[in-house]
Amino acid sequence: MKRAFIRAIEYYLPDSTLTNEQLVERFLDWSPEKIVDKTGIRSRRVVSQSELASDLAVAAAERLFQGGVCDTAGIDFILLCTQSPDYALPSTSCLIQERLGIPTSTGAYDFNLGCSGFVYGLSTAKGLIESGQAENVLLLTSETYTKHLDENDISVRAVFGDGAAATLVSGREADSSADEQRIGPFVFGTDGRGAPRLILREGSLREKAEHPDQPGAKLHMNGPDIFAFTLKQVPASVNALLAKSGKTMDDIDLFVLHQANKFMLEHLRKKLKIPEEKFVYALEDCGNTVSPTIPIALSRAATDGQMRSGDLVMLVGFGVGYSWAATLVRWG
Amino acid sequence: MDQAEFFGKIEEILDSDPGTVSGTSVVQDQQGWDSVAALSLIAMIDESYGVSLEGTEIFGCPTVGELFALVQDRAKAA
Repeated sequence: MKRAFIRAIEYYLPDSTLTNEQLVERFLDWSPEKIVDKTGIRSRRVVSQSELASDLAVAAAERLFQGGVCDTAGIDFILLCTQSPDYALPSTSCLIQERLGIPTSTGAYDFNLGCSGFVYGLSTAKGLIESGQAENVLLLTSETYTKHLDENDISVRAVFGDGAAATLVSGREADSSADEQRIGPFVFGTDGRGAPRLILREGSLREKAEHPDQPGAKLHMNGPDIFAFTLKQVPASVNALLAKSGKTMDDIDLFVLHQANKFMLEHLRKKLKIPEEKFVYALEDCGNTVSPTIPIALSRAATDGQMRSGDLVMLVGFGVGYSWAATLVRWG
Repeated sequence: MDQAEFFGKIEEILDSDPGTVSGTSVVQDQQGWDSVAALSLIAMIDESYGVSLEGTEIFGCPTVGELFALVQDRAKAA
C-alpha cells in the first residue's frame, strides 16, 4: 500500500511591502512598535493591482518544478485552496493547469477555505494517493486577502499579507519495517455560527439578493470573538489529535500552528505549555497570509534547521468558517 | 484573584493609573480601550481563571463589576 508524504514545499511572496512605518502614516494613534508588539508583524507583502492568486500560485509552483523534485508531466491532481479566486467560475485551478503546462489528464479543483485550508488539503491529497486515485498531488494555497480589505480598517490591514505556497504530496510504498503513516491522523471541526465573525460580503450573491443597490462590505473581522474561539478549539483539537494518534505532547518534535498573529500564538503556546524551541513563528516579515501560513512556516523551519528529517510535526489550522483541523506529519 | 486584583489587571491592560477602574466602570468607555485591549482582556481572563469569554459576552456586561461576577460564575461552573 502507498503512503502519502510531503515531498517538497516552495512558496512565493509578492515584491511590494507594507511596513508598520507606512501603516502609521495613516493610523495616527498607532506606532510601529505597538503594531509589532501586538501582532509580531513588522511588514507584509502586498500584490499589485494586476497580480492575482493564480499568479502567486503559478510562481510558487514554478519554484517547485525548478527545484527538480518533479516535472509538470508527473502531476496528476491539482488542488487549489483560495478565497480570492480569479473568477467565480471557472475554477482557478483550471487556469493554473494551462499556465503550468500540466497534462490535461490531471484532475483539478478549487476549494474555499481560509486558515484551516492547508490541513484540509493534506487530508484530501492523502485520500487521493492512498486510495490509488493519484500519485502526485500539487497542493496550492494562494491568497490575496489584501484585495478584500477596507483600507481604513487597521485591525485587518495590520495582520494580513499576500502569498502562495506549492506543496507536492506524493506516495511511496510502505516500508514493512516502519509502517507508520507520514501524514495523519486528522481531526476536523466546523461551526457555522462563526460565519459572521469573519466574512466578506462584497460581491456575494447573498448581498446582491438582499441589498441589490449596495456593493456590500469589505472583509469584516471580529478579532475578540475569533480569539475566544481559538482559545477553546485549538487546545481541544490538539488534545483530540493526541488521543486519536496515541501520542503525548513529548512525542511531538515541533508545533506549526496557523500564523494568525503573534499575540494569539504566544497565548496558545503558553496555554498548551509548548516550549519555545518546539514552536514555529513565521510571520514577522509577511504577516498572516491565510492558508499559505503553515506551508511557509514548514518551509522556513526546514531551511533554518528548526525542523529536521524524521521530526514528528503537529499542524493546526483554524479560522474563517469557523473551520479547523489538525494533523501529524512525519517530516522528510 | 480578588476583585481589586482583577481591576488592577484591567488597569495594566489599559495602561491607566491604579485606582482608575472600579466596579461601576464601563470598560468600553475607558481611556485606552481598543480591539487590542479586548484581546488582552480575553487572554487575561483565560490565563487567570481558565474561562474563555467571547467579545460579545464582555460587551454584554454593563460594568467591570458585573464582568468580574460573570467570570467568577463561569470559573465555578467549569
